[in-house]
Amino acid sequence: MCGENILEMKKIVKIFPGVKALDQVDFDARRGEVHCLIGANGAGKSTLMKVLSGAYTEDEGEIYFDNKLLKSHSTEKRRKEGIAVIYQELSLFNELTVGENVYINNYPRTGLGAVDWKKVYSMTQELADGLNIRIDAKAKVSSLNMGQRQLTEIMKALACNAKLIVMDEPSSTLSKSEFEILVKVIHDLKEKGITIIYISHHLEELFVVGDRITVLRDGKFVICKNVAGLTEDSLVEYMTGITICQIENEEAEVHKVSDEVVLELKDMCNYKVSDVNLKLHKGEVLGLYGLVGAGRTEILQSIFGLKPVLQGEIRIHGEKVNFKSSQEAVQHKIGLAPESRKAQGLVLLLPVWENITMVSLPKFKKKAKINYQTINEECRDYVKKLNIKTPSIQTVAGSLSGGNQQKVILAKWLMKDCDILLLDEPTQGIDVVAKEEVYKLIREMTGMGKSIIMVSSELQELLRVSDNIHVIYDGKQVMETNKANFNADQIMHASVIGRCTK
Amino acid sequence: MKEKMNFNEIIRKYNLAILLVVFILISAILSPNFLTLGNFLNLLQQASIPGIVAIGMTLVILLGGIDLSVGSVLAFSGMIASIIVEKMNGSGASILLGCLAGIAVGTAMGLLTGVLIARFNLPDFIASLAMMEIGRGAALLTTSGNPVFGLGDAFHILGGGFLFGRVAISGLFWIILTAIFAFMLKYSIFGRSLFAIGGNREAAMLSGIKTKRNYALTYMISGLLSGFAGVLTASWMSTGQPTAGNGYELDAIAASVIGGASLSGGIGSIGGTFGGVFLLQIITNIFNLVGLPSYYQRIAKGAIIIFALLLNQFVSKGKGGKE
Repeated sequence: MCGENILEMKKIVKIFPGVKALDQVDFDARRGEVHCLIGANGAGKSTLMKVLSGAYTEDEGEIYFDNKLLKSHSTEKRRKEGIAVIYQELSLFNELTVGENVYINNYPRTGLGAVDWKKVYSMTQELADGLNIRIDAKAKVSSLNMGQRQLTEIMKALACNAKLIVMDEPSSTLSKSEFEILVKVIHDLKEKGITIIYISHHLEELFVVGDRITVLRDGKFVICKNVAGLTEDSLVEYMTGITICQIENEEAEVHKVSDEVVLELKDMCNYKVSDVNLKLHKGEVLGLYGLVGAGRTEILQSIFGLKPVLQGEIRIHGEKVNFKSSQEAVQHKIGLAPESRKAQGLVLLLPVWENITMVSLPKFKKKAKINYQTINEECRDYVKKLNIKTPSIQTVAGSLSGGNQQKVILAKWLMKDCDILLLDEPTQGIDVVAKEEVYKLIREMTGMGKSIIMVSSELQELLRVSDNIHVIYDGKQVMETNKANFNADQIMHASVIGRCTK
Repeated sequence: MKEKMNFNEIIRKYNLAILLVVFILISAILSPNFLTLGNFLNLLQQASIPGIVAIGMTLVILLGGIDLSVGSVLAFSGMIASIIVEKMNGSGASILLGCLAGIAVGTAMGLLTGVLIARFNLPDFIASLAMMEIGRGAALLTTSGNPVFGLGDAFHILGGGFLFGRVAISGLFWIILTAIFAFMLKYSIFGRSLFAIGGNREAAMLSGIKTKRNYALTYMISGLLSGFAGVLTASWMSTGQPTAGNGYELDAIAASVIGGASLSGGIGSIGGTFGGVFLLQIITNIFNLVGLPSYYQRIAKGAIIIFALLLNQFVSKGKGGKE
């Protein structure tokens, strides 16, 4: 099945100002192989793939593709050589049809030079048939589901005669059944002798689709092994350099939750949820689990004063409140790390320090002007304490990795000395190492007497960090369970069918 | 590689300064009268009124907004001030009252625009376009389109007077206001909030910043500065002119952008805008000194705007980035 090497990247070095993003990295791929590439964020996966696609020029090293040394550094030329990259955020035109998207780079022409539409659609259909997928060539991309869009991207690559396809996090937006179709298509592509480089944070997938796995860490090559000889635990070890049992030992220490109720919702209703009852105690992590769109975020929004409470009440430290705006919530020492870091959590073009001080800036006012010296000192403190990896506090937030951006947001609320923190999907899209750091931070914060409500779609992490979990289904609270009685199956069940099965 | 980055950074940072130096050199070669103290003081006087308007515009642009009404607000404020001064025969009290009334009218108009945008969610462009029409119409309506003369010598000092016989008072106002607002942007909570709101309005709101209030306040400041510029214009010309300030909004936007401001918000500086206004004024100045028709000036201004932005983009491109 797997033939000789189609790709050999030898001793690739890529240096950005201040960072060696790739340090003598070797990578190869065989014809008809699915080669998985993994590593924490910032490990150099994307950089390596950008070097391959021609978006970046390597500083040292050589790339051989199909027995030829690649010299030109343009994405256009690399694509013609047969290297196609499907990025995580797909690059399709929503208002065009599948056929138009597939052949957008090389429309078939009639004798007169006009686009041959008949051929566009018949050829697209042939491609779809060849992959055994059902997709209407004339459908607009905007009407497709995420899985079909992914397949459209694959067809687009094939239309350019790709010999090697890089898939960057292809499964992140796919449902389970869509993923199964993708797995089948990948299998068919292998049969055709096409090579796939598969990048994913979801380690379990690699064992389903992959033949070999290469791990990068801090810009360096770690290992390249057959899937058969690896386990998820060993992969995490290679990625982080820490062994799993070390992580779990830290977990062992149990922390105590006090009886003091800091936040209480009584039969709270807003436009999306109804009759929510919950009590958040000092030092507690309360997990909200449920499907996307079940109303978890909306509960946080009402607590934070963004969506009016229509019925019932919210009490903070026993006092009934009715916030009209986020400012009032902030004054009551409530903080929110919103679901979308980039769109809601940070001002990406402002420096790290300014994002950290965004809430607590007034406290740095001295004699009617902002005192930058104390800002610098305190921000450096937080960067150190939270282990935020940034060249300096003057660096713009947009250039940090996802995990570090999340830490900047947490630093922002820590600096304000919030009592209650609302975390909405705090670990979404961040790598294993950064996730561990966020969990550790959450534990430290509860240790300091802060209380946390955490919304997450990853049950495993809620089971790990929460003291209590509430399950939300279609705007209603359907289950409540505490740490001693956590049962993953029951929680999962309740979130899907909307009632508690005991 | 590393040296090249530094070179790019220098250009990016001092982009405007380099342009200014280049144009000053070209102008000095073209006209022996250019590089004289007298001419520079002249420039200061000519640039002062558009410069004051541009300060307000830069604040609005920092928010990610745009204020097309500045020219009309300037005219209406100037008319109100002139009419009061003229009716009260240019007495000291009338000057004070006229100035205050003019500034108050401008402030009110700016606040109205700001409230329409912040509270009622009208698009910036449309709300300020409407105010531009209303302001111009109101200015013309006050005297049925006629200028107001006979404002007296005392009133002329404010916008047309000189300190030590050569330093324009209006120019000093411009410099002082530039310093005040540059300080405000760097050292006040309100000033920093403009960068946050312009950079990401939702994130700013979720951080507890009073986005709506500050938004309306910024437009109010723009109106206040335009109102003040209107009073200065009437004083400088010794005439209340309902057509004054025509096209100032575009000059102010151009100056802000040349000064490094981004129309999508979050980026910009008062110092940069000062330089931008100066650069545009130098172009007008050198064309006058050389004696070319004013039509060329406008073509040159357009070319400079394009060139300044291209240079900015060109140097930003080499940026690269990780992952």
